[in-house]
Amino acid sequence: MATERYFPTPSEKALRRRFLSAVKKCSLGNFISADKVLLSEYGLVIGEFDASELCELTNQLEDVGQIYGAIIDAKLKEKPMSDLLVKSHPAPVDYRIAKILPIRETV
Amino acid sequence: MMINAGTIYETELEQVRRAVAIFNITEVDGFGVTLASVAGLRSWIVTSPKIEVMVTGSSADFLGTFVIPLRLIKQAEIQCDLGEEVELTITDNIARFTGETGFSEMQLLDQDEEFSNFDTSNVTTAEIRSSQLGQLIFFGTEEPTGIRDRSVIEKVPPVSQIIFGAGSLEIITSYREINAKSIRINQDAVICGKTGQFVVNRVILRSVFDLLHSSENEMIKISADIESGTRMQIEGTSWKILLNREQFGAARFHSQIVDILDSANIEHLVGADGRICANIDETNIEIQLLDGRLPIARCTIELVTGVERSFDLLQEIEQQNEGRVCTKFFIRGNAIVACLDFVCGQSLDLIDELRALVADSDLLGECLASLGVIGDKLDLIFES
Repeated sequence: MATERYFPTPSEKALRRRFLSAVKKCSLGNFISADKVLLSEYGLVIGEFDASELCELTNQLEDVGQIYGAIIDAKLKEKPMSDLLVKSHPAPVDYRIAKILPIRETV
Repeated sequence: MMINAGTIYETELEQVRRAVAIFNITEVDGFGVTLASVAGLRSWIVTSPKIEVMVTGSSADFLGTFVIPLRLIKQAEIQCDLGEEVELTITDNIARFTGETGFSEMQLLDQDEEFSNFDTSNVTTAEIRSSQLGQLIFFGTEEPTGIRDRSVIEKVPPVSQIIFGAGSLEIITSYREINAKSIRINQDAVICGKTGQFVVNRVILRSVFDLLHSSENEMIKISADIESGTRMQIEGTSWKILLNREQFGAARFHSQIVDILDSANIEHLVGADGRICANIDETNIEIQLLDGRLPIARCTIELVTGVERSFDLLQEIEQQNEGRVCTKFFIRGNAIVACLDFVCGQSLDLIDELRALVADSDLLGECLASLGVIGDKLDLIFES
């Protein structure tokens, strides 16, 4: 059965490029090469992997996931304002922390 | 109904005139000198948001408070000078000073004022002769010589430090902003309570000298709660003054920063030690004031916590610092911090600078975190 050739839209092409770039950044380029990433009328298709390739790809994805998780743990819980003001910090050399005194508010 | 406020001698009115010289009394707005009988003594009161003065005269027992125009008091003093004493009566909203040679009268004003209570718990007191205090104030608040342009002296924050030392009272005034030397005057005094400093407005303190001038070398008592007091009381036998405490050094910019954040509707929180946390563009920025060569507002964003000092991380921070102007990055404990040291008192817009700090730090936390978490295993990739 003959299949008609699919012509992706410019947006789909851009998405594919972005996907390939992300794959490369995650050091997965050895496993998911550009020729394995195809656009069809059904969407993006990632080509075939044999069992050993799939195993290595899975390991690599787990490593990336762990790194990302560590980054998230390291940062992304932003502290509430009140927590930031609990711990004091040392003053730079030749400077001292200004003492804020109680004063009357004058209009 | 006529109220007799008693017979008044020149010295009392002279002291009232000297006391009110500290103020700018706007008669057209209804302000004058408030007269009341406090504990059976005639009391003359003038207040402003920064200073309150009460001069106590001789015995007089009457009810109510009356606002006497300053012009009338000045005239009465001249009357006294000519005839030694005047009698003050108030009838139907008219105050009249009657002397030996005639009278002067004016309608009362309507802005009556009250002398605030001064909390004497936890105060440090200094007792000193008025001549010594006069010397302290006169020389301790004197401006550098040879400055004719007032705009030059206006660059100097108008504050003087009063130091309650062990057995002495001291005034220090700095003129660093115009490259003039600071002055320090010290006089023996009897000090009771904690030693320490209390900062007041230099210009207002200097005006107190006029009141001392009229005292006959009496003992003057100065009281202030050095730790948490907001006012200082200076008290002679027939007068007392309340002076507001002022912030000193970089701290004097604290209220300005809070006002700027308020005006810009920026959510912020002030900690117990005065540190400010402001939320700019959904990022929390901590602002701490620092005293040193320049008054500094150190603005920091904690980009990421829980990182290790890996070589890659330090190298990247070094590159970031080299490539940035004003914003710098460093590691504090286990956190990576973006920092801007804002010099207070400049014409720069603080909010703009804070926004620039946030923009400079955008996404950097996650990038730097990756280096701090896995060290040299992961390269930092920047998209152009």
